[in-house]
Amino acid sequence: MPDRLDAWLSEMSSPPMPADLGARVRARLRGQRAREAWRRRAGDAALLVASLTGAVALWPQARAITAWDSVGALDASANWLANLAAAPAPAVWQTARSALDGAAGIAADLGPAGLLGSILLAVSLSAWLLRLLPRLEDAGATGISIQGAGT
Amino acid sequence: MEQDDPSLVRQALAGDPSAFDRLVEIHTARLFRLVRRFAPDEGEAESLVQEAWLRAWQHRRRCSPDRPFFPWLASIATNLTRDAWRKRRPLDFADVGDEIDSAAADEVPLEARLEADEARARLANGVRGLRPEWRVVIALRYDGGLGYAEIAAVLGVPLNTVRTHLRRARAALRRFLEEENA
Repeated sequence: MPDRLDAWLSEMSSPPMPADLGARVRARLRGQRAREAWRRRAGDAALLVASLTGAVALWPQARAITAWDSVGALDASANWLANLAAAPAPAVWQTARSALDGAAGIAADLGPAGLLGSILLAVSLSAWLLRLLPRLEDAGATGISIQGAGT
Repeated sequence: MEQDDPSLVRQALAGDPSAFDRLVEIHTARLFRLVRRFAPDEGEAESLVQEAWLRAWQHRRRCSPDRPFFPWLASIATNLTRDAWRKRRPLDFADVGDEIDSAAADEVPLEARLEADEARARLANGVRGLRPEWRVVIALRYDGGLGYAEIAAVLGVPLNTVRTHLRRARAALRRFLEEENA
């Protein structure tokens, strides 16, 4: 026996939607987007100021850093690889100690202003990168390339 | 050209607000019909609809173009409603198990004694008198047009719980109509 209650429930009387409800929803969404855009711009401005301050504070000290000299030379890398192949454990231990000494040397060379500048720069650049990530995820999720999204 | 939900969701995710506004145009009437069924009055229904759209915009990244849009929107509205109700009285969507209510109630030829239009109007009144949990399930099923599995997903309860709530709600409505008719 067909259940007419089911059909009646599907056709139940319902009060009509207020005519301007859709417009009110869109108006509230516009307000929300404007607030989001303002917060984004304010955040960008704060990060820009932090980055510039960090760069300005870091620049004079960065030029004086000498500890960087010990890092990255091609022959040093070749030596390090040879040591690693010959005796892995001592090579890793030596590298860790060198890295710690290097870091201490850099911190000493930088001084308080340089250290503050480097922290400001690192934090603001990391924050910028984090803010960029959701946008990259969105572009990936929707199948839009970064190159294409900008054009 | 008319665009479907998945492409509008994709555009909204890519940062196009007008695509989201188009979704608002398409789904607000259905959402209001759904929410009005379980909201105590029209003012609260309007607030819930607006709040649901704002939440949907804020959490749009959680929406996938590969899944139907309306059930996702309905789940936001339902959760907002449940939160509002919890402040007044706790709801109980707990698993009521697989017990089968008497099917006999569904087979009473009551419908023959009622005019269809009158019955629909009475039914609307009857739904307003149901327990809130049943009202939500009835609204999701008949006003939102959601399937059993979609309702289960929206409410976060097992499928059998949805079936049982619907069966009990229908039985209660049938009793209501019988009493009205007596």
